[in-house]
Amino acid sequence: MVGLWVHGFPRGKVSSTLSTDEHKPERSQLGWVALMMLGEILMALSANSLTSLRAWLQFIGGAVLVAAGGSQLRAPVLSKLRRWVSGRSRRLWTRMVAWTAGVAAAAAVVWIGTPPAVAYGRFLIYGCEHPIELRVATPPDDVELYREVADAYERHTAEESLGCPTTHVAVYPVAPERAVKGLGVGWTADYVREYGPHPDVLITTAPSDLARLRQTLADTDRRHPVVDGDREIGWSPLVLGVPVGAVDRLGGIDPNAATWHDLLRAAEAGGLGVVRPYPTTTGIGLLATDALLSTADRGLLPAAQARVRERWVGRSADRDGFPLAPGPLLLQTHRARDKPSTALIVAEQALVRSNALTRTDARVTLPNCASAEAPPGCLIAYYPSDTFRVRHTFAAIGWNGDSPAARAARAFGDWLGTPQGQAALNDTGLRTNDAEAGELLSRHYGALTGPHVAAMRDEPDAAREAAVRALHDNAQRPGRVLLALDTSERMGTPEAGGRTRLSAASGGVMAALDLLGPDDVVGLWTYSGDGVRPLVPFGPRDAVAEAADERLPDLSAAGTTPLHRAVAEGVAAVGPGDERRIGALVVLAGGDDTAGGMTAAQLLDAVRGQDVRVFVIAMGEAACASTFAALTRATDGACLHAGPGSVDRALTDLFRQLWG
Amino acid sequence: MRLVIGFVIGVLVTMVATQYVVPALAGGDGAEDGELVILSGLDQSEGGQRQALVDQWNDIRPANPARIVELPANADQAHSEMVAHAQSGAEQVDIYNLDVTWMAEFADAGFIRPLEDADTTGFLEKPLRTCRYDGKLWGLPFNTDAGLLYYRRDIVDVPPETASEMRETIEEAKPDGMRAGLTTQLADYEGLTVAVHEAVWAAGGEVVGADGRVALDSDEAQAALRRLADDVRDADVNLQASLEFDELASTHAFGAGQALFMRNWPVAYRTLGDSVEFGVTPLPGGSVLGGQNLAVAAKSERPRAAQELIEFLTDPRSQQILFERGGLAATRDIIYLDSAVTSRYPYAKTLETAIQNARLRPVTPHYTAFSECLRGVVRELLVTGSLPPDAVDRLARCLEGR
Repeated sequence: MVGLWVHGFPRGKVSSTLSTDEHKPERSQLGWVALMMLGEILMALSANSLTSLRAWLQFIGGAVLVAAGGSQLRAPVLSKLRRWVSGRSRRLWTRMVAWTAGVAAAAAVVWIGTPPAVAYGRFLIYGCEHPIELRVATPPDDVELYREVADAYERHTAEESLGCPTTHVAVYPVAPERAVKGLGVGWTADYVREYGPHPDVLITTAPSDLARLRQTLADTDRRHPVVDGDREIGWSPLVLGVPVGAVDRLGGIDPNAATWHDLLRAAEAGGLGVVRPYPTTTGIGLLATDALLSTADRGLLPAAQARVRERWVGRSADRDGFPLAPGPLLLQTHRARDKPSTALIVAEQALVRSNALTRTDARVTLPNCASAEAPPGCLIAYYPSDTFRVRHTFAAIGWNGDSPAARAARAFGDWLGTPQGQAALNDTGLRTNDAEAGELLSRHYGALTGPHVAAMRDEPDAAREAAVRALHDNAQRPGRVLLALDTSERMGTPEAGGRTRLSAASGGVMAALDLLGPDDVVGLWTYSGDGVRPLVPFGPRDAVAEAADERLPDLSAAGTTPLHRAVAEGVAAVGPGDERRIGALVVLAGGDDTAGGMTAAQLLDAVRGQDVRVFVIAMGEAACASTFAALTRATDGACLHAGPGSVDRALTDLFRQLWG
Repeated sequence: MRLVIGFVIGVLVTMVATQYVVPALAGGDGAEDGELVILSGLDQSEGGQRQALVDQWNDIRPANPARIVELPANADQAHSEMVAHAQSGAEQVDIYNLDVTWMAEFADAGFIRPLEDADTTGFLEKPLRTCRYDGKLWGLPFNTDAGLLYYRRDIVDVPPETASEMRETIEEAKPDGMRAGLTTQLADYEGLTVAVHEAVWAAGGEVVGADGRVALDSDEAQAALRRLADDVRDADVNLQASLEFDELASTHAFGAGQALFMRNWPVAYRTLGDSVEFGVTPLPGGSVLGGQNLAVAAKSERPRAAQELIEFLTDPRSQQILFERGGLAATRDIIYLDSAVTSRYPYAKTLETAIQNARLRPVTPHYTAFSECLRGVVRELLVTGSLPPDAVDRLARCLEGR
């Protein structure tokens, strides 16, 4: 084509006075040009996907067509080139080598230059290409934070690519312990259905999670997934968030010099309560528990004192209606209080975001949290001298070798280390090692900056973590727990796999009994068209488990659902909890009340203020809304929805919440 | 010279042969043997009727045993997993069960292949339309959906036919103890996108016009969005908790007597049971069209068998079973005449009318991105009371995938 323009491509009409013979050279030139164009098209179509024999044949064929066509063009520049090559050697093989080298050079130019040109052409004709889907699993506490970071990354990829994002980052919550277990078994179909997509990226706040995962994968000799590197992308100090109106009750303690032990003693002496997120199911919860049960010299409290400390936390939660929940929900509860008097052990980034509110909520312009007019919802961060850094670690998870998703995961991780990525992390309230703190990390939003922040220690080692878990388990209050099993007609509905809901729920009951401790007292009731009946009376766990194992298989599903009566009578039977024990009613429900006789409002009146937490596992078309939501809110319980194969998992999660 | 020409011709012949002739010769006319894998969101039919149909297929077609791989109930997560699956192609998937709004994306991205010689007679027109893109048929409708207006029959004698009638009824008839007039789904997911479309359409406006351009700057659309924002903030009109509700949450709120009206899908009918005395009527202003379609995966090694399975799952008998036993609205018109269906679902004719009058959301390969953008813009509207000045530009870019 270039040759024709150099030669002087016929412009305008070919003169009719030329003879047919004189036309022939022009038509043959057009033919060679067409051949070259065909060759270039074939090369361009395959240039981006040279991964199969067919693609390579297509590419080489295209190159040959370009070379063959070009060799026949009667363009001065090509003629000169041919004469130069011929002049350099009269041997055929040297001319062939020279031409082959020329073709290879031309192919290289096409290979390098074509993709951007093709990409732009495709953009003009077809618009943006579909982005690569990147699935990012994060701790539930940090979903909103990483959605903001994901948005920033997508904008970055769009800026680099004609305004078209090349990656779509889908952020979803998975509890870290669940994520590690799921990845350890290859993220089976059950995990997909119950917990979410296969993660391409795992973000965790407990780096020991990744060590455990690697060990599990090594032990099982599983080829996939592959944990492809991990790096710290940001961190946040663990702080004690004190309501701005209650700061004086700490007795003037130096906020940056006291240890956790001293600070908590000052809070207790000043009549403040303290709460923390799930103690053993989240990284931050475990760190908060470590802080809660530490001595002044960084040891752990004796068992008796640990029990006292845990009871104080329990009373604090009960007094101010804090649920057993992740950090964001604790902070949401705090913001709803008119005169908060409970401090919260949370990550600094969660505290400042709470003070500023999230981008999905109405952004309320707050006065300066450090000013005299700070609203009561402000929390002031205290940084004990022995506090921890909550480290956010990024790990790419590989499923299919060097797939587009794997490359996208690495690119996302690399971007998080760039100044732009670090700025995006800082904007969420996280601290990074290489960039200045973002706007949220200021006194305006309750945070402090300064040299003390740099001196914080990393999370404890595995031995300390195990000791904290054991101390916590021993310190928690024993329970008096009633399990109420729906045996109405709807529980006879078959689920996928052939089991009925009743059989799935019965399996869940046995799994729940396994989760109780030797000091716990438990009972088992059923409710159906035959009324509300004790199946196994209250007794020690082992005896009740044995009796349940015998009687559960004989149950059948029939009749109406007297849910309201079952809950009201169950709460009365459990009796009020106190600082020495937890009272709880766990309902495995297939749906709302259909028996009548007691309205939802009457039920709420009956259970409110009884100090018995009501927990609901909603099965089938039952949902954690309306009656269940109001009921569990009124009793500081919780509702979890369980699919066909996940009743026992839901119960496991629920009991972890129950024992905080 | 002859050598060169001969070599060139040889290369061309080889390329054409490997690209087209050999694969054509390798394929036969019959269905391929082997397992068929269906990737699908959670089966919300009563009694797991989708699995029941697959079990029936397995009985009659032992050479092509099928199994369903279920994805998360959360639609965004299900979409993410399906797209990632399609992009990686690492594991076998033969059939995708796609939300109607995902069809254009999957077709445009080359994740699915057009059906060949599929018989489309007997399908409802609107659901079938969602299977067409760029002049081709990419799937068959598995189940369909349209929003209905649920109302308290013990309080409202004559259900409203327009949005203004509904407001008047709320003002006049809502009992003092009832918290609000209406509950719907306004949480930050597709439910909010649906609510916006229905509000704008009811006012005579468009979100995306017939020319494919964003049309939220029209007078009608602007008025509709202002009214939506005002109603959302009015605690007497809109149940405030609706801002956090999905379909089930709003169902239970209505069932608990917290609202006079509810906008929801037909699945709420079964869930409500006898909790309140209620009736259903078509939505004033019309509904979006929901539902799912079955499509053959582009990388399926058994495309003919997969198409036959799709045809089985969407044939009249399967549609009867799905609707009558499972409660999933059928995509074939004849099912709505069946006495077993109409006696079990008294709202069946109302639903059929709603489906026939329902409207499609924007058909674009970048629908999910557009929906996310729209929700972001609308949430700003709900907070500040006015549309962001760059809303139309933002949405136009998102419509192009930017």
